[in-house]
Amino acid sequence: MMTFNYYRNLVGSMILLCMSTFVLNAQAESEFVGKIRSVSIEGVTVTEIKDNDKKAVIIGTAKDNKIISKYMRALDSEIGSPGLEYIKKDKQGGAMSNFSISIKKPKK
Amino acid sequence: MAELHPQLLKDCLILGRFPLCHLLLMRDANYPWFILVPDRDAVSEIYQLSEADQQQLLRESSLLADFLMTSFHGDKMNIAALGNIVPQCHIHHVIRYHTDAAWPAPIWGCVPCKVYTDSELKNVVDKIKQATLDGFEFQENCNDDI
Repeated sequence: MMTFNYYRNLVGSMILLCMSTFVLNAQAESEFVGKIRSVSIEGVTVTEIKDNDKKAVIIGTAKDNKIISKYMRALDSEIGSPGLEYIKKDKQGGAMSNFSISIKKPKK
Repeated sequence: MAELHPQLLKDCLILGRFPLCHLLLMRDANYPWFILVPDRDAVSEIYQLSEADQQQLLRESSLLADFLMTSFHGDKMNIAALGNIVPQCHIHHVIRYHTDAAWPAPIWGCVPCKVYTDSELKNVVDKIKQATLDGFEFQENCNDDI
């Protein structure tokens, strides 16, 4: 009976440890995304932030290239060096540009 | 007028323009590093420019290179059109010194960008401002609204 209780407690502890690690990781990711969300530039609309393992990818729209570069500079000074993955003019003929910008996560 | 690519706007200071090209200064104090960007829409390679524009580009590039080598006392001028990251056609003009951070290797990927101090930047900009290059117009504080 003592052996059973020992293993039961051990398994329970391991599950708790795994859960807390998972929660901590999730918090770290959301903190990074939250930091990105806190960077706001007039004329830029962020539509989606993909939170990947090593980097975050920001998808959005802006009215022109100067505004996108201003947003990238703000990201650079607040978080880290951003990389522009693409810019595409609105297919509907609108003035807006769609963009995708990635930022590497700091090493843990 | 072609819109400058956001990566160029982010990484560079706009100094002015020739009849065909914008002249930019890369914000990297490791090397005096200038970029010519032909003001043409949807052009990513030099061969896509009209023949007249190709001639004009060569003229502006040679004028610039000659002036830079004299003004900055360089040991070698590196001119390159890569465009692997920024698809808008642009031509790098980098003054190299035997003592620079990457010599004799190409500059790409060698050392991290170094931020200009205010006085270093002013020195470089003043040299361009005082230049008498045929057809070149200096643009004061062109990045102020960016």
